[in-house]
Amino acid sequence: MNSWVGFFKKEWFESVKTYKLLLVLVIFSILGVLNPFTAKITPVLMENFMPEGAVLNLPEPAALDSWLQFYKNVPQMGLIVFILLFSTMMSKELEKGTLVILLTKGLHRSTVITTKFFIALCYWTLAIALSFSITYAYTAYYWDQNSLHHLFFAVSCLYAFGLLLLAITLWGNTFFATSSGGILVTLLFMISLFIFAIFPKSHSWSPLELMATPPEILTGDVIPSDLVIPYVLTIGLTLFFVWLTTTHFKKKLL
Amino acid sequence: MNTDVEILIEYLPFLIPLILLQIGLGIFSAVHVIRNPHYRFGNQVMWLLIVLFIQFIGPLVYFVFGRGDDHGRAN
Amino acid sequence: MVVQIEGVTKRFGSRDVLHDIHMHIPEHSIFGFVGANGAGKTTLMKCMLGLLPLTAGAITIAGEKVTFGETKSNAHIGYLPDVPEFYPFYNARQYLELCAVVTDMPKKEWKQRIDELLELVGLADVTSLIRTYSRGMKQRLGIAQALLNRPKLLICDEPTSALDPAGRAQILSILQKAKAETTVFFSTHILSDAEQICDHVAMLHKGEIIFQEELTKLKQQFHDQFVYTFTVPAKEAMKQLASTQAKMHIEDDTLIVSLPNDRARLVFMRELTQRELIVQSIHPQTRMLEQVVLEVLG
Repeated sequence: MNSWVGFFKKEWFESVKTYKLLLVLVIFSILGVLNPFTAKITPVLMENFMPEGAVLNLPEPAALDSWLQFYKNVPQMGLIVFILLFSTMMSKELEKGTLVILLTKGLHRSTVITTKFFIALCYWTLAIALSFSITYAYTAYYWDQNSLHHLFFAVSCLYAFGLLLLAITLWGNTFFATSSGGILVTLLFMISLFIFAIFPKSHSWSPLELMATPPEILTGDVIPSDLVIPYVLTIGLTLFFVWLTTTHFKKKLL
Repeated sequence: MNTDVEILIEYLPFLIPLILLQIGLGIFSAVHVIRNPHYRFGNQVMWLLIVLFIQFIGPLVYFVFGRGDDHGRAN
Repeated sequence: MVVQIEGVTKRFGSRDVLHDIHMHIPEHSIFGFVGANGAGKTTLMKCMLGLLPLTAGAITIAGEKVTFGETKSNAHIGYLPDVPEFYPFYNARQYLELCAVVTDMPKKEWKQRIDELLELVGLADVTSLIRTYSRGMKQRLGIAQALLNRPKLLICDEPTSALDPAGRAQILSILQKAKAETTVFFSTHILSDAEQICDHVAMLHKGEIIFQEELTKLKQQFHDQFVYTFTVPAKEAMKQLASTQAKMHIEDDTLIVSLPNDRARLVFMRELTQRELIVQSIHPQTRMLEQVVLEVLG
């Protein structure tokens, strides 16, 4: 247990020293402000770009528009940024050989994997919490959000989906031991999810639903109980990939 | 004209944090690029352009992939 | 015996990198492991650390059998890789603290032990980050981390080969001091390094141990050899001395002569004056290991 905490502290220290904390704080703050801003300014811009005299009947922006931007920006920009930031966690150590000394000192190989996953989880929690609370504060200030359903459940779906991608990135990064390995595996996983999504049947179970449906959750078109299977499957897959990474790493030649 | 200024003032609560964060990150990265002239690949001019003109992805790519680790390698 | 290596074979594909290795390392000794680059030294060390699975045979360290993956025997080992890599964002003390946590050392022992080790390797006054370290400093920090948990065995992979002469001398003296509390097993391809500090020497050639001996015995074997140079080429001198009793051979334009006792030495001197050979220099044979290598491989 001591060595788990010790190695976790090292991971934390490293992430600060390699500017991950700074980048996550700045980028996810920007994303948080960007959502209500885009929602508010889009109609104004549209009007300005319209030819003189043309009358456009754009509805006034509402709280939902701000959250729609959130579920567009954070999964696209935010998640990509995040995966890139944490895509070299294992390969960096494996390429340089920094783990050899610590492992021969009796550090458990499972500790390495679990601490690395846990630090990424902490950062993802921070990132989502930051973006969410900033968007929430602005939206609450400008609009009325009372009509929206399950705000917190919706964001937890995105959060869980992010964790799954992190676990897959970690596995790919460990398995191929190159910086691009994790990104490629995650990309392939996303592509296959999108291919599955062509078949309507997959909508009842695909983890992709967690990323795609939050806007419909907010409007009340989808209720949380519809997402039980994708949700459970996502968490199960996340744990499975962390386990898979650990067992693979235990027999990896260094 | 008048309306443009009004619009600008109306959006200040968004613009101020956005501009501060973006420019702050850009300048911080640029200073880092200049003070640590060791990169895994590329040169100083390239990285300066990237961190200053590609919004927040530029600094990210620099810190994750471009920043060199070691300062001295000699005996 | 702190290390027992019994019939170890390691095969990569169809190639035997190590073939039927037997080796025993006694406690509180410095065991030199000599061999050319690519002879399989690092492979054997990695096998001893459980970083590579064995094809055949067994390794026991401090009574604990080595298994591939996580092995209990590693608790008794300190390891210094050939190019040790540390986290560049730490300084030496922070890194050793991380090592201390990982080895489950009681927290109240940390400070004293780390001070002690930083003193031993001459890094006590260095506060800069590891990213600014030279190779020699990294190598010394490597020894410090390896000794941290007072291991019964210290394994060093080519600790001196990448260093300049001053750095090499430092490392060798540190290893000699470390002998007081542990057993040192180190590999090198520099024969003179091994000769300077080792008690035992084993030599690996193409995956086989071709020679394994105590250095003191080796010294006895060679203490009667003298290296002569003459004003004439060594070949000519040897031709002229062919009728004498002494055993001799030529090497690098020097004549190496076995003279087991004082009488033989006097006789040889007389022979030299008789034949009017003028001696330019004479000294006892010191490059024993090189001799052995040449003999075994010759």
